Amino acid sequence: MFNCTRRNFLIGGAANVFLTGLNLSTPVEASIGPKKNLIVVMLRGGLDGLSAVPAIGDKKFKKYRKNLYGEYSKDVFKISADFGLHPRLEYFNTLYGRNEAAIVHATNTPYVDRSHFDGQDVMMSGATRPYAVKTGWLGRGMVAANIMDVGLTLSLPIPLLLRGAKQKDNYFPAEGIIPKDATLEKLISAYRNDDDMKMVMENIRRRPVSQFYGENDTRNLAKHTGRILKDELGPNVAVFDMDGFDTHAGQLYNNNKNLEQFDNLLIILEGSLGDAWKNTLIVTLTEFGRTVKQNGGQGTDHGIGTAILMAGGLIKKGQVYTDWPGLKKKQLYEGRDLAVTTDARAVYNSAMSTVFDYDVKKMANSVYETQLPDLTNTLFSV
Amino acid sequence: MEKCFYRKVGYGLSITDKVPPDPLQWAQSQVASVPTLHWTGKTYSTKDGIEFARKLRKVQDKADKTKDRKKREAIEKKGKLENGRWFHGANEITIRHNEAINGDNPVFERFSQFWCNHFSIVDKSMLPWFVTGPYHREVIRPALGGNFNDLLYDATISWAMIENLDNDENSGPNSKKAHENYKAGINENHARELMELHSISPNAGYTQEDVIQAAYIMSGWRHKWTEGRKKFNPVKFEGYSHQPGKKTVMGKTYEGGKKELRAFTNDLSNHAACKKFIATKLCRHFVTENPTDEMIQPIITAWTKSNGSLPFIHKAVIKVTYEYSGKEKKFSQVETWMEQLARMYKFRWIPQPKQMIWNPKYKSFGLQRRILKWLEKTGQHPYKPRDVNGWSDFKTDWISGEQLIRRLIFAKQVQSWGMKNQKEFHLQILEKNFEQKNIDTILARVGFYGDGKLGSENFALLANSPEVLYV
Repeated sequence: MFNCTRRNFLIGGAANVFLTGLNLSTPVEASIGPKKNLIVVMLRGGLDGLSAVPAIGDKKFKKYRKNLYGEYSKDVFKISADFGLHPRLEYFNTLYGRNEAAIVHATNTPYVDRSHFDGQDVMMSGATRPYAVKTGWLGRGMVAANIMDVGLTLSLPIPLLLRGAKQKDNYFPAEGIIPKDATLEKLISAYRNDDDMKMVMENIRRRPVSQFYGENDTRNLAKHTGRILKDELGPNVAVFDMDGFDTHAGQLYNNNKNLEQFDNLLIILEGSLGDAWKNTLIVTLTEFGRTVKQNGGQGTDHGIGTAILMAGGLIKKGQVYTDWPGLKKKQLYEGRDLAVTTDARAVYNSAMSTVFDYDVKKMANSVYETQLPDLTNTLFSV
Repeated sequence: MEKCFYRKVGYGLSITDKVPPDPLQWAQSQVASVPTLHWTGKTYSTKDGIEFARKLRKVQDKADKTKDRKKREAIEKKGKLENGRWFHGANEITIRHNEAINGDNPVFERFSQFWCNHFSIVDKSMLPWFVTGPYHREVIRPALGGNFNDLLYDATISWAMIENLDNDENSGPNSKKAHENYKAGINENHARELMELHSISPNAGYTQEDVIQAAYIMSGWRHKWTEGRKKFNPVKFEGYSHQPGKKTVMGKTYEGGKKELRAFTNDLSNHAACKKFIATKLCRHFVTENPTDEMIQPIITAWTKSNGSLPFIHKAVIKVTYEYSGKEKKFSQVETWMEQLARMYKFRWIPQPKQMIWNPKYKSFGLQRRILKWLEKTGQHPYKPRDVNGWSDFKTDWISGEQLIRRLIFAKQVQSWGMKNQKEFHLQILEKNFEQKNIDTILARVGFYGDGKLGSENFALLANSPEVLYV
């Protein structure tokens, strides 16, 4: 019955959002092109890529997933001879048809040990092993591109993904009355010997009044996010934190819920972004995929290879980008998991390069301290 | 001792709380046994909670088969109303805060909240709505008059924890179940966290093989499964899915069967690494983020001498906190801070029992959900820690703009909940809970109106001053 979750939402019902990033370029530089937005949706628990994007063209697939796939196979959206989309990714399918959604399949970070804690650390830090790096790839990418984490991020603790930029503040619409500037001034002075607290109080005082109000359930949060990202002078990075993808048991039911929630998020974001949708890129991020073979509990266990779902106006075309490794036993990682043929870091690096208008090689160097394949022209419209 | 001791081990002294002649004795006497609940309103048991969850799950299954999105949502919403999805958690949170704020044993309640967080239950689907509250009240709290090994065992085989850490999915590979169903196998999640988070911590130096062996010991401990009710039954040891034969964890051998888990948790409780890990965690919660050996050692000694008696361990923690009050400061977690303000300033925070009556026709109303809503807003919902290791005691995890904005808004709001604003009242509270040097600093910063009243703006300033946030 219960989702097998390990990580949880902090505030609100179904998701958290973290908004950040104000471009520090001068207005003249900034006016070179339209503002672009990056939205990362974290799917914690380990998204089963083969459930979201079933490999319908691989003969082995149906064998491994007898009833798990059988239950909804007739409703799957066929997007190519080889791949389908989960029935609850209804809107994603529409976007795919409009060339505004795409998938990278058989992908993951270099992490292969199947622990949630370690895997989530690596997915956010972008390092090759857990706990090696204390900052996140997105935070470092923003620093590299001179996009400062100044306005808004949400929450407790600031997700590792965004750590790295100098200043931190977080954002979540609050109802209520904020104290006056004079009060905040006194607090700034009271904390003059306490750097962390002083900085936080200064950030609060600087925040525009318009960013204080609003409801904070998921729908409104997504609406709000869209509205804020639409603002030419507002932040350009948002991170959603969703949970419940650890589907050891009852995967059918749980992924129905999970994928529908993700699909709903896309609907609301597109609506609230308006024209800014054209210049927005949404990518998912998860710690690992799941076993190819279903387990005894109508679910799947921790695996390796998974899929990245991408949407937005900055997508080049509807495609499943993959070097399909195959599902024969010897093709599977350790005989059980979908093998990884695309380094997920290359996808995120190229996404940042596209949105932040920053050279892809330099980005890889400063964020990952290594070279990664350039996928910008393959996946995104630059 | 400095007066911050009352907030370090409790929630501070209110206008009506007497200043104890012997603060150490005042605090230690509160943890000697488990006080009866101060709350006189209706409570719902774990059993009730499981039944609500079962019924709601049935509705959700039905909803899931409905293709139309809107219809699906309508069916689910009705099921949620009928089972009190918006009420029961709020009711439990009200009881939790009532004990801390209106009860006679605030120090006991601080320890109780510490252990609820130590044996954290995360936001797994319906647990926070129906089960986590009763688990805190029926499993954790009553165990705090006894020994740690009983607490550990009780928490481990509780309905909530088995669910929290997937032990339903844990079957021995050589069990009868595995022979009949080739897919059944171990799930080491619960066994690993039992060692890593609940008792000995990785410092004990166990190996992956030890974790697997521990998982074998735990195999078979699950919610009794029946066709009609599925997993919505009490926890039972099921020999059918238990790994038969001997298991060896960290050099100790266990004989197999139902009793070996008890032997195993006893051994974990007596392990030196367990004492050290938990003594450190207690110091970190009550004294300082960076406890020293001098702080930890007396607690370990009390543990060993009393054979793990929690009242003795707690008394040792209180003594250390007493000795270091004024010397060591800790940044307050937000829920504790809210409870402290509510206790010290006695504003209307806790609904009356007669206001906490469930009506299945409606979502709970504003007053019923106020505490819950503020905990969600400020980001420390005790039933929804971000992780199975519970809420952090480290300052870096709490200092963020979003958090502090909400603390400011909260503090500004309390006057509308009937907090007195006369200067005399405020001076008395300050006098009871702060040293003179700190009172002077606070008063230099916080001004009263000409008529001697404290405005809401200035209370927000006071409540978020360093002297209040660092205890």
